[in-house]
Amino acid sequence: MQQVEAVYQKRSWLKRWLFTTYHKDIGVLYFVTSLYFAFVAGLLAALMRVQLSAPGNTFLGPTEFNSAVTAHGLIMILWFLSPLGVAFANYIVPMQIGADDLAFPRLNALSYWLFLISGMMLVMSFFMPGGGFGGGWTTYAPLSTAQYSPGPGPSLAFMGFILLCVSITVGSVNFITTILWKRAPGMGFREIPMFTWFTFFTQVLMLMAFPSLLAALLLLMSDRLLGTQFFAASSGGALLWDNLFWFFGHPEVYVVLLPAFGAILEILPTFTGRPLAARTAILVAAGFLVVPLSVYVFAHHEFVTGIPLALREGFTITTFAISVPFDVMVLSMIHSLTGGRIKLKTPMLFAIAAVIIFIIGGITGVFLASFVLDINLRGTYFVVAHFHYVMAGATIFGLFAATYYWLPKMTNHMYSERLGKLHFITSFISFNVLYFPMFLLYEMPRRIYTYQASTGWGTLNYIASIGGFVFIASQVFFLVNLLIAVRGKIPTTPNPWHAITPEWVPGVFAPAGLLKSMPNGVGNGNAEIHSEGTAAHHQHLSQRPLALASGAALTLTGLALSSWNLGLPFLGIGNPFFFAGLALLAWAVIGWAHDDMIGKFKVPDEERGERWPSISFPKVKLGIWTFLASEVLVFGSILSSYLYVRAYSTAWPAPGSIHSITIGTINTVVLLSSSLTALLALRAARSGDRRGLLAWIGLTFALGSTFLAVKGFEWYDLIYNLGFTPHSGLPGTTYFFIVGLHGAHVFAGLMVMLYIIRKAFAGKITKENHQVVELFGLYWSFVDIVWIFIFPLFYLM
Amino acid sequence: MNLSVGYLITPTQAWYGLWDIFVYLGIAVGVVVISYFVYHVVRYRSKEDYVPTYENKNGSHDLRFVLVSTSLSIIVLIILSAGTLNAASVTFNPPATNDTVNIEVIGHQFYWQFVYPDGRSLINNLTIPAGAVVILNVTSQDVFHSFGISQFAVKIDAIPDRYNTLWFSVQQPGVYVDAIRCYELCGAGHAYMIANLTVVSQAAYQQWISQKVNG
Repeated sequence: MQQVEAVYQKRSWLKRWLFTTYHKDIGVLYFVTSLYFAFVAGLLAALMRVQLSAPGNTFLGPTEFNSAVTAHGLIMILWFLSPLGVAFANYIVPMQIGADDLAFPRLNALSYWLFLISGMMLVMSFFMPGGGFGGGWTTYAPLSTAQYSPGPGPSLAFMGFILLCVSITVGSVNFITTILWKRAPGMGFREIPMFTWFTFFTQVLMLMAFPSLLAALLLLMSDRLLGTQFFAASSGGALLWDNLFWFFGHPEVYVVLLPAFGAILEILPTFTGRPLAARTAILVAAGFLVVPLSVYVFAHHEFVTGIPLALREGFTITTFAISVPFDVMVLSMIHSLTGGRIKLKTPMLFAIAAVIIFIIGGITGVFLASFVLDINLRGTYFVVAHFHYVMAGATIFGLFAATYYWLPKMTNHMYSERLGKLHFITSFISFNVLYFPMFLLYEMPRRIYTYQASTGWGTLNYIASIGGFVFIASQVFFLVNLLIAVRGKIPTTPNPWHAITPEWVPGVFAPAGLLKSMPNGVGNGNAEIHSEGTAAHHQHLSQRPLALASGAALTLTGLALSSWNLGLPFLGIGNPFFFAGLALLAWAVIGWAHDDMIGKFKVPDEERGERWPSISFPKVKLGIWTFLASEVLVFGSILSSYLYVRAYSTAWPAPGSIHSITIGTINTVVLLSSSLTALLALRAARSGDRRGLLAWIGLTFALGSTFLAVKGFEWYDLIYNLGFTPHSGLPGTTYFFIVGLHGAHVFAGLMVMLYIIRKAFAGKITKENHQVVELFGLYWSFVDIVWIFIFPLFYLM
Repeated sequence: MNLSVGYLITPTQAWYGLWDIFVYLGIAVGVVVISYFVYHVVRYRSKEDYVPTYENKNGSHDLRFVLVSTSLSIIVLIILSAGTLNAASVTFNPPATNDTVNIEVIGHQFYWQFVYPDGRSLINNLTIPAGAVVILNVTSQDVFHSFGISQFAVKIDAIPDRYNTLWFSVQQPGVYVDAIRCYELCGAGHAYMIANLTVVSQAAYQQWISQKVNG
């Protein structure tokens, strides 16, 4: 195995880093990239702290300050904290479960490139004419609509935001499949290490939360580019955005936090030399309480929006309740020290600091959970202080701990302990000097670019700014320490901490029998981690993920720029970007499909392994099911938005809001029959009947195309004969957007069918190997089911 | 001047009462837990670099500790919930009294407009009679704002196409400069979306109202 890595590393440097699909490389890329984004967002924070250090300061103007505040929040949360957790997940999780890589290495690379490029789009939005977006990371409507934030800058930022959602969806499908499906033999649920468990929880939460954001952003971009009116003031869009955003936004807090907790839970036992206290209680608290509860607390962000009193009471109770599993986790962490022998090395110091900071952030979170107390604290620096303690403090300190902890593993060398401790003490003190004064500023509104001297807020702000600059300066110790480890000045052993989780075993993968010897509380099963298998895997380089991500980014950039001149795409300066992007996208997708067809990256699925509860699932099928789950949530969010808008508005029923039932019924019949033919195609594939397969899949293709053709005819008639367009108020808005989105899914299905037909012609679909037809069938059924929900909403009611 | 209004405490008093409970309990819990944690770190510190065996000498004692201490935290949460629900009964139910003033508040980019029942409107100056129950119906003309008077601990979002209500009452006449602010980022002028609160005596208020109508 080490030999394989050596061969792999001999490839040209550029080629290796651009085309890599290997989880360790991608982990490193995530790590470096998220630090870069931390630098950008930290710089913005520094600018803001300079501006706020004195009353009436004019260092930044209001527009610059608002853009800085917005980009700082977005980048820190979505392009730094969360991806830094993903960096460790990439590097460590496969090793912790004894897998050679993630389930879908090329998709992993795709996630990374989408993450990087989407962040660049956000950064570039700053430099667009008219500037970037200045409405806060919460992107509240209607401030985020074209009416109040016109120009290509905000559009480009939101397009980046959309691509990030795609990156995260692809990533969570990948990680969930990997952890469920690629565990080494003997690694049952009880033996999974804590960091992997917490990565799993994080990814499940991402899969639950991000579809709602994606739906919200798609609706918003449709408003901005096509002139639909989901978030216009008159359609009650402000509250719709609130609901969609916070359904994502609150779970996102736990998405950011949980990887850090996972790392802390590895570090505590290692440096106390005793197993975690109440390990099972921690897992139950995180997995069975935090994950499901986190989506039932979102409305505590809406306590002063005027939602009914009963809802406020209910969401106060659920928010209080979610503090209970965190109590369990923190108290277990504290009790894990009892009777141990604590080595206060840098990772341990940071882990302890993270817990202390989390305790302060958690207690102040209970203040905000009370809907009465929240009235006066909402929108003030008390909130800023609270979420910086939880998200910035606990998470960053936890991930600093993770970095120092795993750095010897990643670089084969030690960092400087003295410098690490210096980094710790300066960061910990300055962090508290920076954020604690903000609790006392509980009367000062957030996101104001300046304040009057008469407010008396000057002194505390000045202290906070001093803390901020020291905190930023102390990160130099961190960077120098990283360089020391990377440059390999200080030698170390393969397992310097005497840790017992599998990633520490010398070599790439753990030898057989490792987990057998694990004492209680860390893993006590009879798992054995194998080092056989798919070594060739690491040599796989593919240019498709980078091309696909760039193509998607260019296409969306083109669309964003088109809004610059006119309200419609395909016009204006975005054209070259748009078409170049489409071409690149097509090349990447066709190339990807071609690679699959010739079996370029085909590796035999491992036969051994712990797969409960997904024993009977092939890998790709598990991935598709996970993906469809997120799709269900996207459509669920969109359809409930539609119902919300419709219930709120007086626009229904309106002339033209109910469409020709004849056309609708024809299309319903066409689409449902195509489900039947898809099923028959699968039957033919199963029995090895190539002609039958071709005939039935061809018929399915024809039916799908008919569906789209009828749709096209219907739209032509509506727009040009009846004058019913996306601009025709809410009924027009919702109809064209939702039906159009469904149509796009049908189109994607047609593309997959072309691939199947091509593959069947080449004789590559056989009795034994027909999985692609089955997976297509799943997807196609999903598309049909969505239509069954859409049909009555637009053609009957 | 009618000061015999039919209520005992205002949302302001309810909020500060609740705030005190949270602050004292929060500090107590924080100090106890963090001290206990730091005490553990100090007590079990080992200066030698040993090879751990990862034996657990505590056994089921661990789980018992976690469950008991979590139960304690649940008791604290129950106290806080009770306090919250109790305060809510004041905050959300304006007392029925004749001495009530209804004012419409409209948020604009970037100023506050106050519309009185007789149709007159003031910009960035909310004038209310001392001691009266003041009911504000808050909305927005353009984007999402949030109307807050931090000194009196009241706040409600100003949302387009929607009316939200809050009530409060101030006994002490005077001009509260810059007391009203916007608490939701609403654009470039957010920092200057500030208004004064002017509290006048009942008599002066009645006079002001009648003057304007006559004139």
